[in-house]
Amino acid sequence: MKRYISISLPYWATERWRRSKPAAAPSDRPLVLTAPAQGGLRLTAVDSRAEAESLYPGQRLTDARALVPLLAAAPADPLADARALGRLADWCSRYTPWSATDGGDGLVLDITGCAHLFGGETAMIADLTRRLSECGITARAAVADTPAAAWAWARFGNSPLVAPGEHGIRLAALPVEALRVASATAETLRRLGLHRVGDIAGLPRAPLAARLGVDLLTRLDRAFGSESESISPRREPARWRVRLVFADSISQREDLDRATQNLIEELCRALAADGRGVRRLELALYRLDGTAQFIEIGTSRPSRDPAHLRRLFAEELGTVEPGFGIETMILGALATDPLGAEQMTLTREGLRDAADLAPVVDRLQSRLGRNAIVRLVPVDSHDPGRAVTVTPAPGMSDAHHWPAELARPVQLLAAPEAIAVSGDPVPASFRWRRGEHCIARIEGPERIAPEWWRGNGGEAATRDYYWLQDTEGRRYWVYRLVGQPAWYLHGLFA
Amino acid sequence: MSSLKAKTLARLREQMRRLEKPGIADRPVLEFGAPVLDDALPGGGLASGCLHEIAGRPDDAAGYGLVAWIIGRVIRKDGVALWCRSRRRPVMPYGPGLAGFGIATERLLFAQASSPVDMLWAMEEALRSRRFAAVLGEGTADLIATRRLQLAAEAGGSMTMLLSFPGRTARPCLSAATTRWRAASLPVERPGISRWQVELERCRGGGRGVWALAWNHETLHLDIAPLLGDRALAAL
Repeated sequence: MKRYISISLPYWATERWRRSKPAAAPSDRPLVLTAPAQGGLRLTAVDSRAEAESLYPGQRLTDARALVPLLAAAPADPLADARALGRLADWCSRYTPWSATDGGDGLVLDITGCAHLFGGETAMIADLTRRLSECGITARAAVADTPAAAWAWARFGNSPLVAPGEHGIRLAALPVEALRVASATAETLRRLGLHRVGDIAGLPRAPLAARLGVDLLTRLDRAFGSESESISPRREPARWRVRLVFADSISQREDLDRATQNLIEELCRALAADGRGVRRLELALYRLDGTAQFIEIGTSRPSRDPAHLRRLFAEELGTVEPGFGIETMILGALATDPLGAEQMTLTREGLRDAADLAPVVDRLQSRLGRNAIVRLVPVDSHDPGRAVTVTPAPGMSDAHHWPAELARPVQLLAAPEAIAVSGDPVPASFRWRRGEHCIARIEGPERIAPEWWRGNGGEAATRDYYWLQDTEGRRYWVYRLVGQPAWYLHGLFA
Repeated sequence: MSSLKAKTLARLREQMRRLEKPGIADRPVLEFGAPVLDDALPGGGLASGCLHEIAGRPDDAAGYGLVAWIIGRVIRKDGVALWCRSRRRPVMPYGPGLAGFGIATERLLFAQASSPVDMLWAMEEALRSRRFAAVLGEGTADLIATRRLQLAAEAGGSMTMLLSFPGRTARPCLSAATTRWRAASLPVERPGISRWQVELERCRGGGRGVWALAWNHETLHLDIAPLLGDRALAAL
């Protein structure tokens, strides 16, 4: 049995504006937000006081001011509203990983199997609305078997709870607007004398669809649960999750460290029981002011070593801004790999080395970036630019075999650089990076043809490589394309 | 100087070093394999657990060759080396060339940092992890940074090197490194041989000097001969 909470935020835009500008918003005056529209500024959102004065969205600002001279008005910012709503949905993941925004003024949570953690559905909704109202957000929430029924009950119902299986009966008494249909459709329904959801539910479906569109039927089916509706969470839900709720909010770094350690140890125990190790972990920190911060770390090989994982978080925990305090922390394993108990005690030499290196490599990569630790690996190619590949391989690998027949430079330029060579036919000197080099010795050429199967240039791309030594003893690897006058410097010999 | 005096001096120096940095004197050292160079270094070779600074020129790969030889020797039997460098440098270490200095490249990792601060952080982190036999950084560091690296090297025990390319005329900045070297290429007769002038500019508890080091890529042998450079002549 699925259970959903729908949260209605009737004054979201105005309350968000007040929260973002606490100093600029006089709390004793009605507040409206406006946007330019046909015929001047029109209201887009009203707060509870303005609503009590019978102001409504869509009204002209001049008319509203005539009614309520004390009105405070500010420009609307729908994008910021949507972003803030997204952050609020993130914060709601403290209740369940499946949280999402729902329209511009609502949230929906899939709380299947979560309610017992908060003392039941009634207590959970009470906790949710209390926390939101402490942040200055008016919220009405309802729980039901389908997202659409919860949506309807949160907005038109009179109690927060629709018991399992009862949504059909309860919905029938609600007005047709509770179906979330377009206002024109609702108006048509009312003109036809269909005022309640129950009035429509029993009608023949085909004529209804013909008169009012298929959308109405879809809405009806979703509300009653005959058509399922899934919510897509904003963040990836973790299969293994452990949470820690603080009686008093915390903000000290030492407390955060200790809490993180406890969470990691608990998660590692759960993973050990299932024989798995983490590859990606997410730590979510929920602040008192209704926002959340997320820290993600990755490991190069499955791990459930608490000390190692804690060190990976140590760097990032320094960036946490606790604000007024952190009230809940949740640690989730986003990706795991099988990790048997026997793998913790490998005895084979090479693999033990790799396991030894993994912690420090992870730690370095947590700051330098993923794939920042690389290794040079030989490729079977006679094209010098291709003979090496850079692979992000933190573990151990087999011994490398480099072609040893010819002297090769110890440094290679990422891209060959053109040099100006003077002296003909024997080069006497060259300029490279504003430095003049007199050539004392030259050896070559070593002809390197392009790999014909790559089909780039054929004969014209064949290069003649020379070993050059200048009068000071510096040695360079330069080449010239066959039949062309230009010279390029490709590497430096030690 | 009589041999008795020399012995007494050596003993006193040894005592002072032990007092100064307990434990350092017992660190394993990497011998160059020629007394003419090794005797200039305290402990008879390049000490691990210390920071060694090697200065070269950006248009000269002699410094690269020297560190490649040192890394190759350190990880010859086992151990892993970490080479920290900037992601943005247009010149890359080249695998076949490194292999020519006897480096087992499968045991050489590169850390690509996007800023000099990150590069130094990576070096310190690697040193304190005690997982690497050698840690090399490519870039410059000031007095505070070198002091941090020196402390991290003492704590970790790895062979620690900093390869920098100061400008031709730039004065070397203050450094807390145990030794400071300068490497420049010397002419050779044919490809397959690397030859450098290696100058020991500064060495805590040791001497100074200039040597010519020649590495034969075919016989994998390092040949060392004393060289009287201008600075050495001036010091006489």
